[in-house]
Amino acid sequence: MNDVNKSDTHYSEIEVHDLLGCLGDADIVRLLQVFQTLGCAARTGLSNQDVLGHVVGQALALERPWPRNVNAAAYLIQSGKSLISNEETKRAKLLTTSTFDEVALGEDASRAVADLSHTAPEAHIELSQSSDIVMEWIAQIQQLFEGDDDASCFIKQKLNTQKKAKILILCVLTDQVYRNVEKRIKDKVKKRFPNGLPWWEIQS
Amino acid sequence: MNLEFIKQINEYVIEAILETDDHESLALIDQTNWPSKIDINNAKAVISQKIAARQKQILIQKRAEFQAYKIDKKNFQETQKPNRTVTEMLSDIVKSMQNKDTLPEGLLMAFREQGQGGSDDDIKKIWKKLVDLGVINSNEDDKKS
Repeated sequence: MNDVNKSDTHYSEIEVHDLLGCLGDADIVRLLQVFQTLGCAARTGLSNQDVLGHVVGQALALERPWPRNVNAAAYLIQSGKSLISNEETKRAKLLTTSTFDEVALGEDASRAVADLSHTAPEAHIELSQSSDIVMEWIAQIQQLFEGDDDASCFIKQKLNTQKKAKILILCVLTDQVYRNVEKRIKDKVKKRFPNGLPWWEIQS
Repeated sequence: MNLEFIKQINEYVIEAILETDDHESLALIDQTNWPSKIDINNAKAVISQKIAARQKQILIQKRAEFQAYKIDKKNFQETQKPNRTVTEMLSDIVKSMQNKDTLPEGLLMAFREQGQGGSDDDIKKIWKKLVDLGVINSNEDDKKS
């Protein structure tokens, strides 16, 4: 894509400066809260302010072209998600490498390999505990919609990994009712879990 | 599988945050689990600093580009300067006036009217004009060498 075509579909550097300079307090509240909900601190060690600073820097340097049809919040959140995910992967690699180095330096080679290839008994306990926590979260979510048949059916089918088309049939929902159910779920889970659910603690 | 559902729930929370209107978002400042006024001011300061730093960087870059352009232009002009003395230029002019085969019609007359008693600057101007007309080859010396 040449520069002329790109300016039709993406913001120029000057326009990016203007858009970022126009961010108001309400925009910043939402951005910081979303980065918090994405678990930036626990997953990467970066605060929500750090993430905002990084994504603003990336936008200003035009590292990520900003499509004209994407608003500031959506663009910065998408950039933040990528940043958090990349940093999390880097961090995981770093931790794995240092763990291996520690084991290899501390013991003889065969013992070191054995240490890394066997799952520690505590890991099974942690896995079981993790499963319990997830089940508890699911129960709390289901509880929020007791008496709301459409929402309960929607959640049940989501848990069965059904897609929208199938949920419409299985729960006998129209497209409009489906969207209404989704809206009710969004509003209630945000009120009940304002910072989301820390699924990253379960994974690690 | 269930973890994917929990991630989806978090996406719903994020979408709900983004759908919160400005009035409601501002009312959440300093509430438990929400950013404080200090957080907002710090974030705004970081954004302003980054914009200012980037603009400064662009200005430095543009200045450097302009300087480079000026140097290039100067170098180009240097290479375009005639590598001949006024005496040599006068000799070129005389030779060209004597060469009736290549001299355009009426040019000798015009030269006589304008060129008589010319200063060094006049000679340079006439030489340049004749070069531009193709009557004098400015690279004649280069060809010889």
